Amino acid sequence: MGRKSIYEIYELLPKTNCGKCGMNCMGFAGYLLSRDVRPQDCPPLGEPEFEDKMRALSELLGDWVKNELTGLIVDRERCIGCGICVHVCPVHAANNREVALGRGPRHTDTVVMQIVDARVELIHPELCNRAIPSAPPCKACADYCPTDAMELV
Amino acid sequence: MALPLVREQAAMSIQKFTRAFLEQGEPGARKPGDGAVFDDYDVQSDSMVCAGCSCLCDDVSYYVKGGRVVRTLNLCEVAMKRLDSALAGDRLPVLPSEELRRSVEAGARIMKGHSPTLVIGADGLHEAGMVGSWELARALGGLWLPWSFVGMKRFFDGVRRWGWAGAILDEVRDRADLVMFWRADPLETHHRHLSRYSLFARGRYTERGNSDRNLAAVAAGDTVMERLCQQFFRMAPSEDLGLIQALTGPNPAPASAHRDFVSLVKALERSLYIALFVDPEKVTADAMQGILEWAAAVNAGGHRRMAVLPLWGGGVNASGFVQLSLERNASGCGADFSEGGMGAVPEGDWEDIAIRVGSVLMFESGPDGAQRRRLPGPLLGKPLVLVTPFKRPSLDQAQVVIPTALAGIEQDGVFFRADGLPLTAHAVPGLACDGYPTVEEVISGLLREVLA
Repeated sequence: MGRKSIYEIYELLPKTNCGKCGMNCMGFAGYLLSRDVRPQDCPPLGEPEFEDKMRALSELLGDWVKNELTGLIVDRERCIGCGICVHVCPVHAANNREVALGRGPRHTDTVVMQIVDARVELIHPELCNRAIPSAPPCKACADYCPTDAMELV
Repeated sequence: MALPLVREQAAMSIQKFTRAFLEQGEPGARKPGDGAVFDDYDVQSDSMVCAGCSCLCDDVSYYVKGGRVVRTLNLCEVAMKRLDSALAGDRLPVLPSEELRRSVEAGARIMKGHSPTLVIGADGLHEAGMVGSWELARALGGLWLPWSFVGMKRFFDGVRRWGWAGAILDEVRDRADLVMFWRADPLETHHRHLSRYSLFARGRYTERGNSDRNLAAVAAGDTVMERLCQQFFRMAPSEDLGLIQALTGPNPAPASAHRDFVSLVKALERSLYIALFVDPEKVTADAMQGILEWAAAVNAGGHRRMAVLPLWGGGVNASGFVQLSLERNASGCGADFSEGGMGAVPEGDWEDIAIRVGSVLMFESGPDGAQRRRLPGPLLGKPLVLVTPFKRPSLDQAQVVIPTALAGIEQDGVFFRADGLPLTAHAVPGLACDGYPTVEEVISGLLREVLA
């Protein structure tokens, strides 16, 4: 749930393979998908003839923040602060009884993520299962996000 | 020899998620990093109650610095918009005391000169304001109605016939293994409802959260909740009664042909406790009666297995309005103090009411994003006295505008949660307030002028 397609992104690029970004357009689309670059890193996209594509690309990708340790990408525009990600996190369920019961974490709680100013923020990403190679793979937060605000790469 | 090894591995697998494992320093244990500790504030308040919607979340934290809120924890987007509007440029300026007095006098003159007055929007106020508005409506010989009047009337017509199987939200969290949203969309109006109470919170008998629950929904159009549902019925309100009859009786209505129908029937059969949240504004009167009749049948015999809770999309304190109305005139949905009204609920809809009233006193408590209400169309054009904290489109229609403080941010106020539980939403400590009058102070002034 929530993951963009490389082809969706590629369709919104100039597709000229000019190489000004250091790679071809498909390669750039891949790096955009993993949020390792931003649309502004493609010089032709800044030109007036590609203004519509730039706007569509920005809308598709949103206002995102990426955590390298967990590979979690949060689109801050789509996040509505519902807290579902906080309450489905298995780390929280196992370690914090109040959070498991539905109460939001306090500032003193040691949590992976929390709703700060109506947007989810990673507080201790090192506690996330995805930060531990031997831990079972987990994508609960992205799976249950109702607005596709979370993505895992 | 393999079995002890499996047990040991299973124990380790569980262990590594526990606090004890984190603290004991075993290889591979995760220790929280230092993290960025937020300490740039003057005043911090925990366990505050948010009055953004009828969830009344009581786990909110505010950080205040220099009289301004600089950070919040556990606020959803609805509440954040209300807070931003309250503290940013979306407020009407404070009226100087002389101008406030003149506005109150002008408002009272309008209401006395164009009676009867419709007092609307008290379901968005805190309890003290709501009680004051009741007294004012009675003194004016007017009508006292909520934003959700049509839905409330529909709901209580059903309650009078079939009874009301309510429950507190904590019971829903603990027991409900089948949760249904009937034309109520919490992801539109009550963002944290699913995570705090109805789907993802883990309760006494629902220890695995959403894994122990089945979610079903009925809606007219697209909704993001569809992806969370095991059963989803996209259908027009006119088809609701058919679905209810198909689910509850032997009548093989057309609804039984829906692809999720059999799945829902099985979920109903195996569930021990059903929580049905309904938006009475969006269902037909027959369907509302059908839902309450269904609950009455399920609960017959004294074992409560089904709870029906209205999820009002109107004022944040709709549950409080219901409680006050039940207490004062046993109606649950407003009162008519005009000549011939006898304090009972007025008949008809907004068009009928618009014909009867001469003026409108409207209370608002949310900006456009948080309170999705407009003056009903048939009432546009009536002389309007507006009591509101915010700049709203209705300003253009009002003859008198009186800005007030906001309960739950600038003043204390008692609100009632969706299940009827009262909670006090305190003013945010440390916040610099601009000296707005409270709603009850304005109402007292209006009452003095009206009775003079």
